[in-house]
Amino acid sequence: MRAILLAAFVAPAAFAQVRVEPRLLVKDRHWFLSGGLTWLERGDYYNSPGIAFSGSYYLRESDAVEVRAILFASWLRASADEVVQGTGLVPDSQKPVSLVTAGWRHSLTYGKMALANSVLHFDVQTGGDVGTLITDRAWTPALCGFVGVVGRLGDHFFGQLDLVLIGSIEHRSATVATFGFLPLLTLGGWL
Amino acid sequence: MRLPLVTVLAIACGEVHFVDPNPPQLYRSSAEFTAPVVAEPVVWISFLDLFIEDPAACAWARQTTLDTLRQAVTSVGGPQMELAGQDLAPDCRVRGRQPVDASAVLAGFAAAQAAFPGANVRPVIFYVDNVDLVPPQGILDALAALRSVPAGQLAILWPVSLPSVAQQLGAVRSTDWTFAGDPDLLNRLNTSISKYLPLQTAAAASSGPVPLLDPAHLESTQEFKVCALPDDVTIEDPPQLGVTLTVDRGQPPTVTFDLAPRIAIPKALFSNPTFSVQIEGCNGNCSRFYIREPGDEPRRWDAVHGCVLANP
Repeated sequence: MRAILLAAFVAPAAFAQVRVEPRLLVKDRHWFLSGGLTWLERGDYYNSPGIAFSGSYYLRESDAVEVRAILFASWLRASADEVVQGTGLVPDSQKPVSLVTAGWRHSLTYGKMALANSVLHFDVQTGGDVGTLITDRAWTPALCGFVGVVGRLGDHFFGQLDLVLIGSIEHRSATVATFGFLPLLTLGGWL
Repeated sequence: MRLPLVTVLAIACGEVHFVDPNPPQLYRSSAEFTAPVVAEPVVWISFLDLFIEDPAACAWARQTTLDTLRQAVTSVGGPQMELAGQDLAPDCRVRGRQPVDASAVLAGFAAAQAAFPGANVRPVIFYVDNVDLVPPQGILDALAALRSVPAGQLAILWPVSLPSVAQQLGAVRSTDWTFAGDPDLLNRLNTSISKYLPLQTAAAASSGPVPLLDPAHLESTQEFKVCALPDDVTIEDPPQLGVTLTVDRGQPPTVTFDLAPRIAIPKALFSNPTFSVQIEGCNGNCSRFYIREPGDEPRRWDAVHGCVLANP
């Protein structure tokens, strides 16, 4: 009996009479709209930060269709700029301007994590998109795969972090397949 | 060998190379010269030296043979002149009974030269003989003398005879004789004559100035290099290979070939090569970088010795 009383004393939740946190990040038949920041890294001698907009509609709790649009503000890196200034030579890579994709998003698992005095509800997700990476010279076909996490930040608000691998076909001095990394951090709400 | 696209993409995955956004505007071309050729008039004469057993067939044999010869020469086309032929065996009994009338022949040669002013008349002497024996010495000597008339071109002796006779005459070209009235003689004559006649002449000793740039390129080209010169002809003051030259539109660049005149050459022996000078021209950005392959070292075109584009 003393042991039970001791356990009840050290567990604060026991005082609140909460045994199981209810599932609060419910996505089924909801729109999730968000905007945020990103950075495209693909070894092309360009710094490419961007702003991203994302919209997902969950057909069921674990699957959604999504569209994404990213605008990049790309500029040459200092090392490349030095070559340009010194010789007039420029990299043959194309300057990213925007990325527009559509695809599918799937929830792998739902989790909750105690953070200080609150509980974070989150969803670990994966998915894939196809679309086009628009550059200063062409619209190139692009293919994306990602893993990410969607976390509930309050009633109707969420944050989303996706780690995207992007591949595209680009004509440089020759036609090449390019691969890049695109971390996406967005904040938004659901309807 | 063409690599599959997937392999190429895998190899070239994401490589970034530095390129010149304003590369030199280059082109390759060639300045070519072919010497003008003229076909010389066909001037010919026949010497009939036939032995026919049946005297009644003599005239027929002579006429048939002569007609065949005329038909074969006529088929060559172009300007022609048949000189008055000579019958060296009028009764078809003894070869060489009638000596060659050299003065008449020479007069004929002279008349032909007068009839074709400016042409290089080189007569063809058809000697028709149907006996497998050495021709009479008088005939041999006369024909040899006619061939080398000092005033004109060396005449061509063309036996229509058995091979042994052609050999004794020292003839380079001949047509085999079989029998009088042989219907195949015309075919044999046509085949051999059309190979050699009409004679060809390229008389120019110099090409004159041959423009290295055609009018369109002369307008657009800023600088050029000479990539290659023909090695089978002499060139007056030849341009330096691979050196960047600035185009002076007031004095367009030219090259002059020294040629060996070729006069009245049998068609089969005549060749008329085209001499070609390879040029690499630059229409703009000539001092900018040329990069042959992605990843190659950039080179300023006008500072590089030699041509950079591959041969077209």
